[in-house]
Amino acid sequence: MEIELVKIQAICGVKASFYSFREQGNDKTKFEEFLRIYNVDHGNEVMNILGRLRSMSSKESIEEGYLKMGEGRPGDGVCALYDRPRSILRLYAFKLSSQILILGSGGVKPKHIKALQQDPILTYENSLLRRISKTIDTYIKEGDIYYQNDGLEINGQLAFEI
Amino acid sequence: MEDNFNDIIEELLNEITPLYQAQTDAKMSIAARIADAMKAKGWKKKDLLKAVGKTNQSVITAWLSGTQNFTVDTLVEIGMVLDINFLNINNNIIKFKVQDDKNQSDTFDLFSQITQLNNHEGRKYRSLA
Repeated sequence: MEIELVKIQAICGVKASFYSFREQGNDKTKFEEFLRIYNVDHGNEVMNILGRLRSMSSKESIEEGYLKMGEGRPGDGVCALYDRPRSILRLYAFKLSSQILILGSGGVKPKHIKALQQDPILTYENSLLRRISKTIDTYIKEGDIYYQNDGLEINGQLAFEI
Repeated sequence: MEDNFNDIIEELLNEITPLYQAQTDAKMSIAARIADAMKAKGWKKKDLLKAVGKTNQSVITAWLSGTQNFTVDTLVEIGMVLDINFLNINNNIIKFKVQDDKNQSDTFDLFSQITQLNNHEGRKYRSLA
C-alpha cells in the first residue's frame, strides 16, 4: 500500500505539529475520515480530542501521559487518543517525537471489548499505524525522512510503501 | 483538498467554546506540571503512587492524562509531595497587634500562627490589615 503523509495545518502550533496520511487514490486523510464518520454520533468526544490536540500544539507539546501508549509493538510509538475515562472513541496515532504526532483513524471501542483484536475496524486502523511507524523509523535512521523547523516538521520521503 | 479539510477542522474547532478550551488547557497544563515534577525528582509512577499513599496505578495515569478534573484537596496533596504550588497561594502575612501588656508582636504568618493565637484565652486581637 502506498501512502502519503500530510501536515494538518489547522491544528499545528508552536509546540507541536500533527500529520495524517492518505492512501494512494484517496483524497481524504485517515484523520479526516475519522472526523467525518465519528463527528455525527460522537460529536462531544471528537470536540474533546480536537481541544486536546490544540492544547498540545499551542501550549504543552506532546506529553506521553496525554496518550495511551503501548497500542502497537513494544516501544514503537503507536498510541491512542481517548478523550475521557468514560469515552468509547479510540483514535490511533504514532508519536514520532514530543513535537510530532501522526494521526490515523480509529473507531468505537465499547467497554465490553477488552482487546482491539476483537474489533476488525480497530484492528485494521491500528495495523496501519504499526506499519507506518516501522517504515518511518527506518527512513529516519537512513536519513530519508528528517526533521526541520526546530523539530516541528518532517520532510523528505513522505510518500512511501508500507 | 487539504484546504477543504483544514476548513472543516476550523469549523469544528470554532464550535469549542473559549471556556471549554480554557478548561481543557488547564487540565493539560496541570498534567504536564505533574509530569515535569516527577521527571525532576526522578520519580516513576510507582514512586508518586507510594508518596500519596495510593495503591492503584491507574490513578496516576489519570492524573497525567490531561483529562482529570482535580479537586483542590487532590492538588494540594500532589503539590505537597512534588513541591508544586498549583494554586499559587502564598501564606498571607496579616499584621495583628496583640493587646497584651507584656508582649506585643505584630506580623504573623497567617496559617501557622493564627491557631496558636486563637488558643490563648483572654487576649484580644485586632487585625491591622
